[in-house]
Amino acid sequence: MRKAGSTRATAVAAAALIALAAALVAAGLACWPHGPAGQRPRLGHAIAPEQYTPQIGRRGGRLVLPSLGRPKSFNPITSGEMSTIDFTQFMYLGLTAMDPWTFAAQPSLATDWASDAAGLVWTVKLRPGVRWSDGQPLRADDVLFTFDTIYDSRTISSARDSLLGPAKERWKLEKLDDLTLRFTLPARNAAFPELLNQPIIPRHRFGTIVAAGKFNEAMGTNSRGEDLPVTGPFMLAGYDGTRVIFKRNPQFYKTDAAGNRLPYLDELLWLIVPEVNTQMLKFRQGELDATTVMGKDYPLFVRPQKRADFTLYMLGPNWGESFLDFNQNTGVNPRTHRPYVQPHKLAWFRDARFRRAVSHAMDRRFMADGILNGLAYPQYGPMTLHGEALMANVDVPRYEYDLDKARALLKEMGLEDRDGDGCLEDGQGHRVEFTLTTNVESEVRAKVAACIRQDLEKLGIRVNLRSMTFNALITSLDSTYDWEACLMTILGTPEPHWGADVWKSAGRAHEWFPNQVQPSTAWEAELDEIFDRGITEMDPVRRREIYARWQEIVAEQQPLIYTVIPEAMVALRGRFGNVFPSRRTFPEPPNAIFHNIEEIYVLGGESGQTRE
Amino acid sequence: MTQIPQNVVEPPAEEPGALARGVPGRPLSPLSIAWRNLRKHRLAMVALVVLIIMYLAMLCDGFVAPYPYNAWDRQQAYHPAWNLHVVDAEGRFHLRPFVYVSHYEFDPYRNRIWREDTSRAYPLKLLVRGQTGTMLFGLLKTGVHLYGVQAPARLYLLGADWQGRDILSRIIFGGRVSLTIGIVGTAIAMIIGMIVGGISGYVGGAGDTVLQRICELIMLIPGFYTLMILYNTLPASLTSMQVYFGVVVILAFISWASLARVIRGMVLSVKSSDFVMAARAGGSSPWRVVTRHVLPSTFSYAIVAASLQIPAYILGEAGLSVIGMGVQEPAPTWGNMLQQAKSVTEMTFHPWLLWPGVAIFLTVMAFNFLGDGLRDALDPRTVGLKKE
Repeated sequence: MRKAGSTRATAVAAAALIALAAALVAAGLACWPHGPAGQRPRLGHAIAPEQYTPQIGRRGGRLVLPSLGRPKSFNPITSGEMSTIDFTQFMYLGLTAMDPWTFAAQPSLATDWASDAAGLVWTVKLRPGVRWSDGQPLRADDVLFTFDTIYDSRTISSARDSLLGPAKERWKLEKLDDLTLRFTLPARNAAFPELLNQPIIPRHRFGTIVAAGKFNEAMGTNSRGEDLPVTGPFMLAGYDGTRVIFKRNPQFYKTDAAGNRLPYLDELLWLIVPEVNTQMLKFRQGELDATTVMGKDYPLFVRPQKRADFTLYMLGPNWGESFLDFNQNTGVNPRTHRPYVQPHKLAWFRDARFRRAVSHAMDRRFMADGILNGLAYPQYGPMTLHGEALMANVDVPRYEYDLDKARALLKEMGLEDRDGDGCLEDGQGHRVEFTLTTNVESEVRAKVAACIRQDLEKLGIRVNLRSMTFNALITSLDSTYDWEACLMTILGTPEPHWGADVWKSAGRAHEWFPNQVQPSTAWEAELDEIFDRGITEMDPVRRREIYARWQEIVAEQQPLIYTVIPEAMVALRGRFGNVFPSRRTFPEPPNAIFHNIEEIYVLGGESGQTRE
Repeated sequence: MTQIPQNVVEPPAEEPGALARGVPGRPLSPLSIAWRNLRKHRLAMVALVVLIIMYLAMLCDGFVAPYPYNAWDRQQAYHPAWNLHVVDAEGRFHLRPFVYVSHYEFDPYRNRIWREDTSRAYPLKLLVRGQTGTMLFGLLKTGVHLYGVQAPARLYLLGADWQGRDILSRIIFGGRVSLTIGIVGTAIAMIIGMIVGGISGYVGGAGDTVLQRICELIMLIPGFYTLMILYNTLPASLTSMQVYFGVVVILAFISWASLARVIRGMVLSVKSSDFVMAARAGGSSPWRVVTRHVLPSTFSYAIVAASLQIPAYILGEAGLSVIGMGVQEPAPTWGNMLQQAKSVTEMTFHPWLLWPGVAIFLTVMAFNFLGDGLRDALDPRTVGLKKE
């Protein structure tokens, strides 16, 4: 009978836990809606570039940040994943960096770049006096070495494809002197200055490792800071699986107006907190100095509280594209010899009217209100929320919430309720239904899926929801193609060409029908042509026109049916100075605040208050 | 302690029917003795009544619940709990409770501020016509609800979730999964456990060794991880009903082994008793001996074990659902409803989302108390000790 006893013991223990939850209900009810007394935190917004007026700060102190993921290495070349780039962006600088306001290339390790009349030969001047953190000077050799490493076929590099371009040809690099380089391009490349943002690595440290073909394993998470000379404001001081510690790089080239060497902060510390809710709790307890805030949690942050010692920065719509897309793959599974998508469904999915009807059926306002407390923006095209970007075209067709238009479109396609059961059928009597896949990790996405399901139910379309882990979903999208519809988010970029892999029909990330040999529709062929033309067009005004057409096609054809984009919000403790948030909320919102990390300092009096 | 009457101790425990010989009149069946003992166990009786009410509500869910489980109303997202009034806007008292139509606006801090339109009151009515729901596991349709209010007003006794669905209705419908998963699962585990345990104990030898090692292997694997792994092996195209059965079978798969071991032990002890010897001597086939003579004497344990195992299934389902596996929305289960209440924000601003936790708590407690009572009632040694 022992076993029964222990089963009961666990059951009772679990029941006690639930009782605790019930007690929390009571506690919650008791304090609602009055809330605790105290102060409301301040609200901040993105500022205009002319308001960017950094003050002279003080040395010392540290900033504690959350990180959702662990670094997989500290190798800026081989890593493509955000969880690593989040860290390496503070260690390694590129020749150029992105201007936080205009998104254009601005000087970083290079001070100047200019092309010849044909746009094929570029001369790049390095910044004089830059030293690696181990004291060695930065030389043109380091740049040559970095690009050789990226082009080296033994190196796993996500940047190689975008550097090789459509012609698959290497750039030719020559060293003119220690601080001058000449790049000879196989074809004109309008995004060349932006592409110079590849992080530069030191040849004196990694030359032999690359030569031995062991670069992929170099710079692992067990590296010591001394082994990783950097040019960025911070260098690695330690990583123990739960914390990443960066210390000030004393050799960093920038100085403030008074000639003091930057950065001001002595230390950057990341706590690895893999869950957003836990990050929020740790921020509220004072363990973190900053956290990303989701719309649904906004009331929790702005209500009066005892420790209202932070500012909540609201930075406008996030850079990103959240969408529903349908599998338009006409291919046949080579193993089962059956089409990836059932032919009658494929016919709907490939019909733009069907996708427009779905867009008309989406109640984006409720998605914003019900899921994110109204702190989200309906999106209709790739850049409709980012009119501030140079290449944006906000004047695209919008298929807004209108059930009558949706019904009319479906009827035009021959999808109507033929047997009076409330469900639509097509001409052959197939019931109009499909499976919508989301990943279990994202609560917001699961809720958006539930909304879409209800919205389409009103039209008589049945949606079956299915959730899987993110990795399983990516496998399904990228290699097995056994999906019908899915909800996804991709990082948006101000430079359209960086999304070429998504928009070109042969692209691996061409979500709805990747790796096409021949574009399967006329509009996809036009997209291919636009992206080939856009990159070789050097005149910004003409480029803008070219990419305007791309956004028009995407909005018209709805291969991606855009949903809502959340407001980017970051909470940061008030004890930091020189905080000038920009609108640069990609890849992640905190970057908008920390674009000038080297100038951020701890305001007088209370440095080192943060508990560890 | 009362004195043990001589005539009660006399008969062997294997024949509980004889226990009541001292009572004048017809001898009591084992069941009625157990029932008599159980009735004296007050906590167990309360638990039984609670469970009966819950199961009745679950069977008649479409009728008892004021709304079908998926009746959403986006204008009513996160409607707070309890919108019944007895005093109207002018301060007059009404004997019949009523509700007002309400709607929300965001304040500058994005809190939902609810305003009631007091121009018209909608009284609470019994046996009202409303949206058609199903009951008896979807076998019957009903448009009549035990209580409710006339549309467009909506009754939210326990509040609404983010889609404006009534939490109370969803809890009642969620019972379809949460209240049955334990019984179905335990039944499956019981059948496997008794067969394997019975064979293992009765046959002995190499067969016993093999079966016991298999049991140990299954018990070795940490339960929750096995759950997650097995859940991932379910094909993705299943309907929520199929997922439900998948989850039940997975839960049963994890728990039959421990049952089988205990049953084996009991069979081993019963195997050498006189009545089994007699049956074997009489030429009964081993199958008959096991099913007719050996296993029945393990029933009292089996019933107790079953009532104590049911909560484990309910909690197992809730656990799976809370991490996003298990029966998917919009079909409600107490677990997937609780999943919505996971974050601090929800607990702070919409604490009524935690009500499904209370339902789980009540059910688990009730089954535990009932199991306790049953054990006392069915234990042959305690039967005689109770005062007649």
